[in-house]
Amino acid sequence: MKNSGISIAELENLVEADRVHKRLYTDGDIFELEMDRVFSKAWIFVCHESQIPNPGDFCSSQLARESVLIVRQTDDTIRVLYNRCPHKGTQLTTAASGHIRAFRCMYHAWSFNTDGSLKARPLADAYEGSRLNTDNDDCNLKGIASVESYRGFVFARIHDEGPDLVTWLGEARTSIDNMVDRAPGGALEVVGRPLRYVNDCNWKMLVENVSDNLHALPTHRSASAPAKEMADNISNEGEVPIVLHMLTPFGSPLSFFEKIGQTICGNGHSFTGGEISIHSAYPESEEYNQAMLAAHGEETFRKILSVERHNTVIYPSLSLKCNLQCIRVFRPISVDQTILETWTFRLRGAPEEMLKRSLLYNQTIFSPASIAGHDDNEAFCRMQQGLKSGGLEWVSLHRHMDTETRNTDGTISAPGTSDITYRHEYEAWLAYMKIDGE
Amino acid sequence: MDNRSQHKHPTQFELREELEQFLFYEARCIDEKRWDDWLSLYLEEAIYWVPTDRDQVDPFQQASIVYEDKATLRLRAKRMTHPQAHSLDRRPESTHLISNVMLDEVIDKDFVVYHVSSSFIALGYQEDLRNTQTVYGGRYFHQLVRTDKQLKIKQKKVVLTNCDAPHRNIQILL
Repeated sequence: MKNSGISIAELENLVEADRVHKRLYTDGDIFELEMDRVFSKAWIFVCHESQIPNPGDFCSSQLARESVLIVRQTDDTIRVLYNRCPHKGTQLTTAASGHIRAFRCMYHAWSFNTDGSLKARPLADAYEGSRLNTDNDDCNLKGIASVESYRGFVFARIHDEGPDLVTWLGEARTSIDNMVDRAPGGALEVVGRPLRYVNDCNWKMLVENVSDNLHALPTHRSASAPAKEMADNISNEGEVPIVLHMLTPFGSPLSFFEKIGQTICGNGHSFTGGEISIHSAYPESEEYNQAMLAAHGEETFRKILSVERHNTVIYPSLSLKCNLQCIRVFRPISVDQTILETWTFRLRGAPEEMLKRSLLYNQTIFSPASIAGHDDNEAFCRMQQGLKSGGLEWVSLHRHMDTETRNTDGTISAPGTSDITYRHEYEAWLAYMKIDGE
Repeated sequence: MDNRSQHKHPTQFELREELEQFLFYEARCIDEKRWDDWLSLYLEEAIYWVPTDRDQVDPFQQASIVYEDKATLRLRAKRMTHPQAHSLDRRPESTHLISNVMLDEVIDKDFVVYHVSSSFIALGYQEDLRNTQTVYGGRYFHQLVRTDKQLKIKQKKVVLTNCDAPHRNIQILL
């Protein structure tokens, strides 16, 4: 653990109930602490189980600053290994995914079983009598302490202490439930590789933007206004292309965004929407409805599709669109650079048009060439620059300070344009940051 | 197609010249931001595709950087001139260079489709903190159709050399 020289008292002074200090977005030392604390003590999304269905399947991911390999074991469990040969430090693979019987280092041919244990090394007798004899655990690939999966979503935590995954997810797990339940076949499958979008801004800006309902109208007007104009010129409602159904609601009046609401779930998790969202008015697929009816029966089918969540945040690494089967994964690179990964899922047992809809949304909204995402990115870049300004020290989190409804399941709801989710995320952030040491 | 045959038949040479001029004209429309002229080069059923995988055949098995029909391209063009397109406040400039143009295939069924491949480099520039010039490069695969004596684009596939890399904003049209 690095000694940053930033004390807990100093961190506490940067987070107030209704505002946070600009250093949280601009200070490289705070970023390093975030990697040691927030991204090491929280459960971080690493992959989906469908990426590694069979023993020996692996995929690469990022966990805090670490390159890790997620490997399906022969007993069907999942291990997450540091991508580093214990011999000289060489990365074992640079592949995004693959299938192996054993990892074999390209430099001196040490090989490892899928669980990370040393399998063989050339001229092994030269290690006899040394500290690196085979009974030393340092001969093996090192594994990440905690790995758990919830309904196909695999999370890992560098630190071994802390709540189990389900407890930690709390009520936010119901968004994962809803995304999976929307599959008539009861499971999701990742489709291809993700889109990857480099944003020159602090990672928290991307996470916070997910729940920021106040920006959609002013920021995305250049996409929503032409979309509405085009849709209005099509007389037959049935002929309006789905892409216009996707973009037009970004231009909904602020009263709509106020009405959709948002709910905080503990540990920084939250969701926006619930009963309505900007996705509510999409045309329905009769074929999909029939598949869901057949799989679940009328009552369960209606219940699953009545959940209209707009966005869900599993703080700090993941955001879900359960009704569109897209996820956003936040990969911090440095204090002012973040890679946004967006993944698309197939609903098992659903008609292909549902997958096409997910792909269309992902490409239209989250691609590096997106006509909507460009303006989010522009806002992030301008904030990252603006916060370097010396004029003011604080970032506002003041909206709807005391407008809260406590729900029976322990969650708290607030109007859609409240800053409640920002405040909740900083509450979790500070809690992680205050846990010092390994 | 066979290289030698192109030299033996001047009509083939003229055809290649015509196709090449068409590609240059499309690039010029983009570089000069003549969006309506650019759109008019596309058939109503046209597809514009920038895949994330250089070998990708099926656009519905992996998300693409762009996979758009003409209606969405029209929307894209409308946004380019919208006064509140914030990311375009500082107007992005582009210069496209196209080379190595080859007529790969001619399909003559109900109508003639020319499969034309080429290599391109596109310089992009937008005033920002670094004032850097961005370089995009790769291959174009155009499917061109002749309708009423005019060439039109049925499909344009842009395979970036770094199609699978993480990208910053791709603000220029490729």
